[in-house]
Amino acid sequence: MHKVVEIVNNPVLLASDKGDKLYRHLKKALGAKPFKEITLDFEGYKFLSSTFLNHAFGQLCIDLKISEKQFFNKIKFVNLDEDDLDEVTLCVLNAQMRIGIIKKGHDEKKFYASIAEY
Amino acid sequence: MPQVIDGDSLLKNIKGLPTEAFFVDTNIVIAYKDPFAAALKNPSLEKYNDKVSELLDKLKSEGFKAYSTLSVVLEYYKYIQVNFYKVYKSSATGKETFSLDSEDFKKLKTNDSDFITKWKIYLESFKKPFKKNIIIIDKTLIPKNVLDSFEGTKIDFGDHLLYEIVKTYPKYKCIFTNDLDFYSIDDDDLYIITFNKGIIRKAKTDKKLFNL
Repeated sequence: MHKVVEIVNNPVLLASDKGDKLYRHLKKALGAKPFKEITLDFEGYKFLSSTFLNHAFGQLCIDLKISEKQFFNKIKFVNLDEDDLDEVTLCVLNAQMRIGIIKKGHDEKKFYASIAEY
Repeated sequence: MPQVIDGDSLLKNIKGLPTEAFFVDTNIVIAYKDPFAAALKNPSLEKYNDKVSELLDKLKSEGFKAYSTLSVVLEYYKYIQVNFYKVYKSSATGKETFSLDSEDFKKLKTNDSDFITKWKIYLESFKKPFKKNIIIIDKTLIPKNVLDSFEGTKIDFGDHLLYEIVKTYPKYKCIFTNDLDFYSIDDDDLYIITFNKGIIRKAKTDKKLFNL
């Protein structure tokens, strides 16, 4: 069992550096392909931001080229609010789309700058 | 001209908000949710989004209610719809897509199971901020008055509709926005919370920067 609050040493899961910390831990824990199965325990967390999720899980999917199915097969979530689990699903889906954008050879920076515009 | 509240100063003195509640503009909902993770690998955008989220969450935890209107919900829906289509098409095909093809969108949402599955996830994500964090309060406006008061050069129609609702709640007459257009509204009782340096600079010059 991998306890998120202990890994990042903080119950507030908002900042990108906390997400990076979890990313590094997960990368090590998953090991090489076909990856180990791990359980992430969110007990005691207070807040959760999309920045944190994108840095921890989104970046992990992109760097290790993990599909959505693989991700949820290998990483199990406990003590995470249902709404926040939906946010994890969205984050993983966003990562899959970004992988697609990169694979198709599109200019990632330019493309996402167009998304950010409002 | 509205009074401007510098978001960074408000973060340091959260209890200093002079209204009982505040309204949230579409650009703030987008920054708060970042529904397509557009800020990943964009540190300046990420920093801005984080400040918006921190301010919104802190204000809420201090008991200030965050409100919005159906016009903002509609604008946010359009943002989700157009950009989901762009991301989906560009990630699935070799062709970069920068605009919405409505006919193609309708076809995909009827016939393409992969598109439908993913679209449903984004639809749920679209609804979430308005179910959980931001309360929609709309009043019935008199359409003729809304149209007559819209002169169309200072602010766009969506912002005009938001302001028309805000006006009916004097105790909450405050808009959290990044949009400079609101600063052009001729209303001394309106407050604008913003991180937009351009608005803050102008307000300083005009002596309209609210002292927290």
